[in-house]
Amino acid sequence: MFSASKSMVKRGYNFGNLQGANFSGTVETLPLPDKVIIPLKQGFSAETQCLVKKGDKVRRGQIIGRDDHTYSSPVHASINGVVEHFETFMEGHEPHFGVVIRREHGDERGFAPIPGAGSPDKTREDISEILYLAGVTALGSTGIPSFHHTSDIDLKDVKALVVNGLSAEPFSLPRELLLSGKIKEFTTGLHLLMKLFDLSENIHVALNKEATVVKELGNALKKNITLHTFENRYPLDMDEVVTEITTGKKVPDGGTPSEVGVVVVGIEEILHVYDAVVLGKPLIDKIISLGGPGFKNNKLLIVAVGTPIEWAILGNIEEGMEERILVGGAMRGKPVEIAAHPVERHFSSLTILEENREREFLYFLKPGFSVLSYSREFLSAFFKKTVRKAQTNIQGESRPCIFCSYCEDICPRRLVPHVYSKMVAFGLAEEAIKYGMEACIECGLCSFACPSKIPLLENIMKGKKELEKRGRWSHPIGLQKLEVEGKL
Amino acid sequence: MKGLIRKSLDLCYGWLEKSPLKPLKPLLNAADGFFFRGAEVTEAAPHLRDGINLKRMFIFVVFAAMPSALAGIYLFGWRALWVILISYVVGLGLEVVFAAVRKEEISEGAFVTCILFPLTLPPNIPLWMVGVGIFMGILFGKEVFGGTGHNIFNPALVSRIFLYICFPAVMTGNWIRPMEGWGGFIKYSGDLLSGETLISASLPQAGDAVTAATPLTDFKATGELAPLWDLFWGNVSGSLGETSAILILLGGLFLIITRIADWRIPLSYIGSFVIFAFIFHGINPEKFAPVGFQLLSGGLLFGAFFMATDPVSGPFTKGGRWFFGIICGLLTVLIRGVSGYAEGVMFAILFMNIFSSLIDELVLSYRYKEFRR
Repeated sequence: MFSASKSMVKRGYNFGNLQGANFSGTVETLPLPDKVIIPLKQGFSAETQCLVKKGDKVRRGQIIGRDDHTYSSPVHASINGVVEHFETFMEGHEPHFGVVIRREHGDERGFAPIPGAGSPDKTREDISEILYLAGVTALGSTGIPSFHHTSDIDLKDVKALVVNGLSAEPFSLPRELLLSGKIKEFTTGLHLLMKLFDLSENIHVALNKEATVVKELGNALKKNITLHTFENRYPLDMDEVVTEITTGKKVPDGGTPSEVGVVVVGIEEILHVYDAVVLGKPLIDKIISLGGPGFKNNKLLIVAVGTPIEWAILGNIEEGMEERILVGGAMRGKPVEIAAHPVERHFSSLTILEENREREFLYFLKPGFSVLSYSREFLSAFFKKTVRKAQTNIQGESRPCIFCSYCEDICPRRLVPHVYSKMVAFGLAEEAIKYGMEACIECGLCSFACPSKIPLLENIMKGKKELEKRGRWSHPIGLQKLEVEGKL
Repeated sequence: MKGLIRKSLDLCYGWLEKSPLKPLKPLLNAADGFFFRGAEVTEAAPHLRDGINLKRMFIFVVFAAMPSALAGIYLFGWRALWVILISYVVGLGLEVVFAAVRKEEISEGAFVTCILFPLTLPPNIPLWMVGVGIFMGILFGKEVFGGTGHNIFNPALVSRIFLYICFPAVMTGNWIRPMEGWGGFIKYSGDLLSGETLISASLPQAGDAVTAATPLTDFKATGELAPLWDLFWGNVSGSLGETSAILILLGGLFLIITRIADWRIPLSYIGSFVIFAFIFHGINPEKFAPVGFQLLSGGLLFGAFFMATDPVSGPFTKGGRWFFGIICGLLTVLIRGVSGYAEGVMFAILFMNIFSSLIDELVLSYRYKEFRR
């Protein structure tokens, strides 16, 4: 394994003050939509068995999909209404099934509470059962382990818990804002998880150094919980990286934190734990952030799970532009192909960028106060406070590599993306293994910084796929891994 | 203005489609790309792209070389402008031809080569020779390897070494007395210091070394040292762009601040040069000139900031860059002191260019040894 953890903290890239990334702390609530589409597979979960029929009346919070025999967590109806029909939609190449529920009454926020929940004094078994019934166990990149099959790691194997409070990726959910006024809920939720995992040490909380709640949180946390603060550098907020910089445990190349016995959960997920156990609320409402220059107002929004994305962004898109809607941040987000796609329970942010196809006049000579750049060739490098504009335009022409080594400098893993890119182009993916290609965490900073506009990350991923095709032991993660092991 | 250019470009596109000059499309594309940024957007994650592009990067190198070029014009007459112009016309012309043949886009790399090369030439070089030099340099230094990004040697130095070997008399004996007052801005060319002056060592006024060949050849021939102050400001004889230390430093600093050149190469090059020059001067002051004099004279600063920092022909790893610079420094001191040549920067850099890939491979195989078990 390649040990880079010591230098990791200082690596990465701070995107600075981006247009469309200023969120106020207030959280708005989106009115319930007329109909919701509840996918039977959401988050870290296999597809659940549907428990309702067409025409059934369902209550907000009622379990409509559940399968205790697979690695899954129940899904819930998020509005009071009638099951209208079932819908199949594609996510990537896989068909998914969704239950379409039409709302019957007004904006009713009451819900069917989880049986047995209602106070923080619960036994381990109770907490496990409540979190499972609430669907909270499907959160996190590999689920939250419980006594049910909900994660690729067993409860007894959990050695450490890491709370990820970082959000360095442009336009990702600003996690530290969720903490303001919710410190008590957070610590309660954290203690519930500690009890579930039977941990009294090795608990780490990672937070942005500049967050306003750092001090308050530091005072509120017990001695056995370590609070780490980091600079706002991408990709420190990736689960693999945050594991490495807080616990010092190196996640195997291409693997997940669960392989070294670490469970990583975000701050928003801890709050959901609190909501489930103390308030008895299933995972039917989700806070998502609307980030990016494509929104009129950037804000945090409470959205009912299953709300079509188009409903959540209605009337808030800048007019007269071709937009690119992403689930997640601007670096690793997935483009939304159909605007009617529902907001799923593991979504945390929606980003809208402008497809900027403008042919700017004499672009290469512009002073560049608002240009986002890793190089120091624009004035924005010397005026740190100026607002930078995130662009989808590649802002240049594709050219051969000139070995400027920007990709190497910006790589958080100290790898050499341009070397892999060339090797893959020549069909020498095996050779690239010797230079550490498989240690790549796919953060995308190399592609971002390349002045020759070479899609380095795409080429690296192509190389990894090539290796898989040629029978190189691939590293399945998450549900894929369970499937390979025959557990699903 | 903007609309007019757009319209005429579109007109040219329409006209070119039908005309037999169609292979020249890369030229038009280059003009189009020069005025208007491309419309291409990202296709996959990451969805954002940095604002930097090669056009800006290379143009900034040209900007960085501007002070030295202006100094060349001021000190040695505006004939220097012709030298630069011819270099551009021939160099870019060749680039266009190759782009047309290969059906690729014109690379902006030639812009840099075509400004750096003339700055390394003696002021009074015959103009046709400039054309021949840049032609051979771009052809055999770059295009035969596959164009910008694929070359092994620095093309500007390949051009120069071609002339240096083919026309040694012209390249070593064509120096001009630096001008004063309004200087070259109003005068076409300066007073020639003939080759004989150099060899027969008829230094007219003792102590006034400026009046003879270049400071380095002077030292080689007579042991005479030019005043450091003159070397620093640049009013000594020498190649067009290499004489003024202060202006080269200005350009070099610009390159480093903008992160175009890696500071490690100039630092290690000049640092090791100073150390070795100091040691060897201590051992043999007859052959090795004093450190301060050596540092400011000849092409050392220009080579360290503009030539050795070429990312394509130099190593790309950090460790490799340190090593590259250190050996370049050592070689320069040795060539200047021991060989028959007065100047050693060009040879040192070209020689080390050969080993760039090897150095990188060694650094990488050490850095990633964990993956090779």
